[in-house]
Amino acid sequence: LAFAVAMVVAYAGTERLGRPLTDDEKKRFGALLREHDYPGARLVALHFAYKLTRSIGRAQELMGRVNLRLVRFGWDPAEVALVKRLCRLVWSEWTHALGDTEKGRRVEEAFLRDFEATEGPVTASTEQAAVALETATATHARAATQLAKLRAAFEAAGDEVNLLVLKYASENGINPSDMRKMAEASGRDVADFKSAAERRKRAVRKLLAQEGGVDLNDKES
Amino acid sequence: MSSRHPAAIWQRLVDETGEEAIEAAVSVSVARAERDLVAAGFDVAAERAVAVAQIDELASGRVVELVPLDEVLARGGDYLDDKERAELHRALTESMAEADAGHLTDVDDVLAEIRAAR
Repeated sequence: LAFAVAMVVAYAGTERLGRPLTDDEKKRFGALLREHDYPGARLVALHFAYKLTRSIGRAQELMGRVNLRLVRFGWDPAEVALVKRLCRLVWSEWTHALGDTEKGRRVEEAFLRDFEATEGPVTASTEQAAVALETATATHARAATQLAKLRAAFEAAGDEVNLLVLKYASENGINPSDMRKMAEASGRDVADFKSAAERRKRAVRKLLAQEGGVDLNDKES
Repeated sequence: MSSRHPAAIWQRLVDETGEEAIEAAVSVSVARAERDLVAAGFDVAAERAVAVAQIDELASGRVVELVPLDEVLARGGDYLDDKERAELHRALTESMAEADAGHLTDVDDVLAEIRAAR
């Protein structure tokens, strides 16, 4: 009895490896991408990037960053399909770029310069560390501003459940998506938090869209 | 970072919102993505070629060089020094003069030459 065994080999990424890829690793990663129709998956991810950015140039730039992240952070085919991995990276890169500041760009560019050729391990210089600290401050300010806007929107809409979600998230550290814990903490029904989650996602989508200057609510036809 | 930190809370909210958008994105077929991208003005063949080139570079064991657009633009749109840029402009001027004179090469021939050289 003969049967074939499909080998699913995860690509660890240079971040986890802590070193550049060897030629053999590059070849295996290339073969893995080819096996999973990387060109097709990349087009779907580019489609998503364009939907988010509404700009050919920005979508292409976003995909450039996604490619770098894929090489750096890797991909496990057993865990997630390539197209989803790429789309997650698109979302992550896009939402981070929205809060991008000049300082943030300097950090990013410094990182990219270190990384682009994968010729050596990425090390944070003192200057990078200092800039990263300033960036963290800007990130904190941006998040606080967005949360204040979200709270104001929930107050204006009389959305008591989502105000509770923000309260328990900030005071108790409960994940907003953890409806069971939210229900336990508040004594309300889990169903209240399910419907609140939909309203909350719409509100967050609206804030992101405002920040990015795009409309994220248009439905796929 | 503490889970109570504003940045951590905002990131969790962005992540939960993103899952829905990502699910919608991955439900798009490659054919549909291609059609929409063409309609938006993308050169889909070129985009596919970029992906194939990335795989080929990896498969050949060579380094993939990806450069952020911001950095390129900050350097005047290329990585050339003044001398190299002057040479490029001179070559482009010569090339345009050749094109004006009708000394053209079919793009298929050029691509075939490049492929043969790989």
